[in-house]
Amino acid sequence: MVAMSTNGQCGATTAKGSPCRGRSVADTGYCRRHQPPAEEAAEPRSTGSTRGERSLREEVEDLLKRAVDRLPIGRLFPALSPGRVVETFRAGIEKVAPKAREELLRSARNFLIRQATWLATDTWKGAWTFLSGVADQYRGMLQRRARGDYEVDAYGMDEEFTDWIRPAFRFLYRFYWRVDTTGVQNVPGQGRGLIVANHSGVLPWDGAMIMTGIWEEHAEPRYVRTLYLDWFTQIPWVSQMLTRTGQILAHPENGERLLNEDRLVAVFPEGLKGVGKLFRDRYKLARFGRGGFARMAIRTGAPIIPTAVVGAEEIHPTFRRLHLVEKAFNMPIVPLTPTFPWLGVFGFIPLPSKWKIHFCDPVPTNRYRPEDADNFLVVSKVANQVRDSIQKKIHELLKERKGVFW
Amino acid sequence: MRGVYLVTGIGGDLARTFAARLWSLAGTKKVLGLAGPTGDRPAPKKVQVAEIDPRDPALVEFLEENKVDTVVHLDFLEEYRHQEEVFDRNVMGMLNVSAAAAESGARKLVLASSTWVYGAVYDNPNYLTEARPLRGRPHLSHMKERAEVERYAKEFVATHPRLVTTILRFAPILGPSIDSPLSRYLGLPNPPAAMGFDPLLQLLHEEDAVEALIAACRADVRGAVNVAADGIIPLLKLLRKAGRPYLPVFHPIANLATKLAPGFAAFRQMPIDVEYLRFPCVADTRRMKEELKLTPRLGLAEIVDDWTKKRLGLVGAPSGPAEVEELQEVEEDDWW
Amino acid sequence: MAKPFRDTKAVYDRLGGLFKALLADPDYGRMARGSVIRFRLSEPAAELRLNCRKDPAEVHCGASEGPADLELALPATLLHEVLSGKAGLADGYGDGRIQVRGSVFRLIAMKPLFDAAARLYQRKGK
Repeated sequence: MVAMSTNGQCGATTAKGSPCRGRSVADTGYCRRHQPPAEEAAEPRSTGSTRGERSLREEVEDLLKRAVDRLPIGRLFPALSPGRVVETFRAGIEKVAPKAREELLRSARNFLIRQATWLATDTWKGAWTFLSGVADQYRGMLQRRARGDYEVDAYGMDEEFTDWIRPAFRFLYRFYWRVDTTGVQNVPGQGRGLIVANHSGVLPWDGAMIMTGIWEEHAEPRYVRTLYLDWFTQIPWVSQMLTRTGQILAHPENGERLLNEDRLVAVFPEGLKGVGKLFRDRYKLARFGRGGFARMAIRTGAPIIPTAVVGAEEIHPTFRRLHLVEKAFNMPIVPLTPTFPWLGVFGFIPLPSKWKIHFCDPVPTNRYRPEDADNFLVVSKVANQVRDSIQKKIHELLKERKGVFW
Repeated sequence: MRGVYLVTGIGGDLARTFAARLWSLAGTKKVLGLAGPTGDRPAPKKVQVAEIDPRDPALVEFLEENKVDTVVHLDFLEEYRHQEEVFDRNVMGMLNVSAAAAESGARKLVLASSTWVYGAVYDNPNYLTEARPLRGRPHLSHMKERAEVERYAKEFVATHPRLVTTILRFAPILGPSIDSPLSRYLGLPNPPAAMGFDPLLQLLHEEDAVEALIAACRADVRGAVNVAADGIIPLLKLLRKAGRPYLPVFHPIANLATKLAPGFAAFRQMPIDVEYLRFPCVADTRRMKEELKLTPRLGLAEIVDDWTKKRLGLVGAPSGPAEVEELQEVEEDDWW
Repeated sequence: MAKPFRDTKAVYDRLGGLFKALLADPDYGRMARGSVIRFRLSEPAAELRLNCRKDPAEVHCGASEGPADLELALPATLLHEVLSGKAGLADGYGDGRIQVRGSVFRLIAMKPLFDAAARLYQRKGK
């Protein structure tokens, strides 16, 4: 039993029952012989309580000791010294019923953690150092780039750069378009896979959001390589940006090579017909090309994941297309939207519609042999199956959707 | 296998190194050389140089007399503006040499070419296999001549099935001593880069080019084989690593300059076509690894470091006035 | 100074076990839920990936691909010091010995998790 110690005397009681007369060590309140047992047990012995509870208790005691240590009152009032507080706590916890103990310990721990974080000066010092460290790190990154010290993968993707602009994509994903992604477990966590989605919205933002969706929501986040239209390779800066973030020219040879390397690839078979759609034809799937994506998948045995994207049609609602301008400047699309071209450069800012992306059940292709890719009937069947899957899902999502912007 | 080799264009750096290395191949009995366009370079030891023009029909007799069984044709002069004499020697030379090889009963013919003959087109897949059509639209004469040589080589292979013809398409070669269009481009005081474009490039070290020629002599590979070091490097990264102060130029202007170059001396600085600054032209090297059984020893980082150290005397430093003078000297010396 | 980790295997045994135990706890698991954290250690070279998007959280020892929400590249000795309480994470960052990829704010928000890891580490070390 413990008793309050007075002026430097040991507070323990000897085996005989009389108070110990030894001098206490420092401000622990006990003489050397009666020092309380160490906070951390050498080996957690099961004394009826579960192992988890024992470690929890140790943790709480540890936190308590540190919390009290941080506050100076322990020095003024020996009773509130770390050792004594822990003893008091220990005694108290014994009184609590075993069943409620764990609950109590847990809430005590959570409380103490919060206090620890806020009270610790190094949290605040740390925050400042981190922020200045961020600036240093970015400067270092830019210097390295100027020297040419950066890595690029076999297709030109710059992982460091992609990681660096992720926050921008995350912002678009979570706050601007508030994308609701469902069915993400249908995307394989490893191995090859071909994501096939409907295309809309003039610019390839839907590809970017599919990519971000997998980064953010999938249990095994992976990089998705989307295949883009060859026209984009001719535009300065855009082509560079696309390559650096891992997008690759849409060519059957590229697609097959990527799939054979067990990568996750995303294609938009509607292509130009999809993004150039007028607003009145929204959500009506255009022809899915000549089934090149199906051929690619069958040849490599990659499962096809049909994906429905709803909300991308409304980011740049196209009322008319200026075909004359398109022909004159050799551009694939010049749309007339509520913002473009009236607002000039601001016309490139997309509208904040609410998006829903759903990954449908995968269509396996490994029951076909690679030679079946040359069989038009097989290719056609698979392509139509995928297309119907997507169209059906789009209708479902449209029905679910409450409004365009919320 | 009689072990008698004929190397044309022996004056060139690649040919000289290769001819000397031939003696390391088992079974080599004799190495002959045909003098290249610059005859003032000393021939390597143990190589008998004959002063026969590759366009000379008497070449057949020469090959038969010496019982040559492998002809390696490296006689190619890289010029940017069309010169009749150069064009004649490059294209007619190749036609004559290949016909002579077939006629004289040689067993193998090895031709050197470039992966840039595929052309850097906007819809090129990332890795070009040997089966791809050659789609380049070059303005500079060396690429035009290479494309023409390839076309004739294709016909030749089809009409002469008995002769083993290997066409080695080398990726842009960078090396301390070899002079290549890319090397000259990097050596420019301000290499122009197309604004907003950063195509992926492939490189090959000169030592590995020699190794490829040796491998072609050893193995019997028919048709075209791409030869390149593993990996790709974006153009801007290459320029930065080599420390070159590049100048971003709006590509239509650069295109125009290249077209007008014959008339305007100021535009004659560009040793490579602008399309290679915009679009990728990267070759797939599966055939090289599987059939030629070649694994290039030097990787991209080493190639760039090697070139930078030897050419500029420093690693990764931007060019100053002193270096510019040194470069000009180097260019005049190696102009062949 | 004696190296705290003899080799890569020692790193995986100690740190892998530490994080597994830490994330098994429901409260700490909840704190980290939804994040993928990767440690790239040097001297000895090791890579650890904590995938807290799975339930239960998965600790993968060894090289891994794919994006991570938070990535820390630091020498193994520094991590040992931080977990032993001898150095603060902020100090290493200020020196430039730690490279952080991903949201730094997420790192700051995870400070309680790192503190808990430190406590567990110190306890297990004794």
